[in-house]
Amino acid sequence: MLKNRSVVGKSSTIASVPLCKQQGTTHAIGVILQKYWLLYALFAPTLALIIVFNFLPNLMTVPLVFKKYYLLRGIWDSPWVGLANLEALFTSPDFGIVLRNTIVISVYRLVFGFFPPIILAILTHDLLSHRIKRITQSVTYLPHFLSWPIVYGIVLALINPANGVIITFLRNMGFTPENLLVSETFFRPLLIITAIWKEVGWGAIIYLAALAGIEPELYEAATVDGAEWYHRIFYITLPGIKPVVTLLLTLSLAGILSAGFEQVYLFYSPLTYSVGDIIDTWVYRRGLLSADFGLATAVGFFKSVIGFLLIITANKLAKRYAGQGIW
Amino acid sequence: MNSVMDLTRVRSRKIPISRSEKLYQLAAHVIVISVALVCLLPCLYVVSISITPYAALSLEGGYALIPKHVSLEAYRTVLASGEIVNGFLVSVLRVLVGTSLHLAVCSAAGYALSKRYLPGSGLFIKLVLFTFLFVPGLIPYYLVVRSAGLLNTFWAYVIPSAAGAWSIFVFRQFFMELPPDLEEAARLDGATELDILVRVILPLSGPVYAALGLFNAVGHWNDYMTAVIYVPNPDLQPIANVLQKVLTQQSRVMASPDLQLDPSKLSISAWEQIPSLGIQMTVVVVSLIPILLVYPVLQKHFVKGMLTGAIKG
Repeated sequence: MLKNRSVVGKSSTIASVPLCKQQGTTHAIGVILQKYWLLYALFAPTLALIIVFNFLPNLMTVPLVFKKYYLLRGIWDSPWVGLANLEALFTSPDFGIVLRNTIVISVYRLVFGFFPPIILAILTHDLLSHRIKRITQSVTYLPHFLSWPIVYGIVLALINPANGVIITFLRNMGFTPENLLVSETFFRPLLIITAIWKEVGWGAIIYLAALAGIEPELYEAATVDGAEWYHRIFYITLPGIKPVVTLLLTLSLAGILSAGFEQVYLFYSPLTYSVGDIIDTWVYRRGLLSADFGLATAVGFFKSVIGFLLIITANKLAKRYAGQGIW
Repeated sequence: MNSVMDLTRVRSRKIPISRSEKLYQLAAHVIVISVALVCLLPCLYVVSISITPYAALSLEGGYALIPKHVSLEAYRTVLASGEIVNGFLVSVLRVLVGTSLHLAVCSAAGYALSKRYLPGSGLFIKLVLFTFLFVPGLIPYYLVVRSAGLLNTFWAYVIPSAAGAWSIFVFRQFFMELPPDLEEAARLDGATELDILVRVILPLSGPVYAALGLFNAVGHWNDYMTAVIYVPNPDLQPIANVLQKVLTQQSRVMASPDLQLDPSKLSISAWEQIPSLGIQMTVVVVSLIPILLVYPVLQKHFVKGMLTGAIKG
């Protein structure tokens, strides 16, 4: 705390000039509190919320993983069971399926969802008509602000087996489509397509901002030198957004065990558990609906540990390849 | 396409435009406009389903993007439903209380953290960053919410989400960028810390409150997982959850035991037990309207808001 004194001197505000030096520590704390009580009071609610809703549950994870938790006995009086929960986790037949589904869905999201916003941003950036640029941007952002239930409603309107417009169209073309809402083959594509639909315009914003930072002179000079549009894209546009692309790509690694709880919970059903049940939905059902707290916490713990390692790795990679990380 | 050609001509005064360049412009316009249509048309289709009278369905053999007959019957049915009106009110209340609380807590923390001279501010910033890195698992979090007595109460919507690292950092960034001279001038005039905050800083902070407030309000309006996990009370269901229930009644039909054995048994008649598509889409539209109302304002703010968040590093 005391080393902040040097910062105090630099900040050149009158009230922050240290009033007393070389005093007893208790006295110093008193002075600090007296001088900064307002700022501490302003931070206090956040501190309390962080302690209760972040530190406490993080601390509780350990006893929950190694105890057999009984809701009525509480966390102190529930018996320790050693590694039983973790053993149950790794021998559970569900765990492999759930882990695989989570990773497969995340990887699909990344492979199919990462590039559409980049392409949309480049094309939008190159549009000569500013009016069309503005209008299309406004329209493509919109789905980001719709809730997943609304998106699911739109999906129902399009592909419900009775009178969804796409189903009706396919039927009129002479096909007999299956019920796509509960189809195992179509479940993952449905997740990915709707997620792309929802986020493509929003995802393009950050690239458009990066593109706006490229010197227009570069484009003009290139055009004068006879560069075609594909030359411009490959030699100016893509190099211009490469840092942002690298940063976002490495960071997306961190989310590989989060495959979209809100969306999956809404879209899946017992008929599609085999391809759609992910870690989060499984923890929710197993832990809260079946009250198997130990096992569900163990899975959640597994996810947190891997997630933590991934975000550290992602940050390192981002620093190495994109020149900046999240911290 | 007219405006494209105009601009092409404007440009051609300087540099002749090659054939491939024109083709590229054409292709880019076609693709971008198609993406925009793909984003927009399903939403319009939902609206048109909601105003198509049920009786006209069998006559016309399905729903059309532009319905021939219009009826607000579905809206009357939906608005007469106590559950939906209640859901709407719960959501409105949640947005008002939740957003105010979130802004109050996060702006206060952001202001405190913007003062680098505050002893301990480095530690506080690390604490806030910690919440980014260590996200607690669902079960321990649930047990904490439960022992805090929030389970199945309205407060479960607004208290646990009151402090948010992202908002705190955006506020901090904003306060740090305010010119320090203002504060010093006020201090020379004998203003106390509290005077400075209330009379100097707050009046300047409208835009950042508006931007973060809108984001948070939309988040509260759209969130449905909180109610699923922490608030089963049927009287406290927000509109998003009422919508979810109205939409997923078909999964309950499909989850019935004989269908589990043989999914092909799901006949069209099974669908008749479900609220009609018209009713479902009407609920979609009703829960969509508030978002559309704030969208123009939102749009003005969000690019800036998102970029501040991205840069804050």
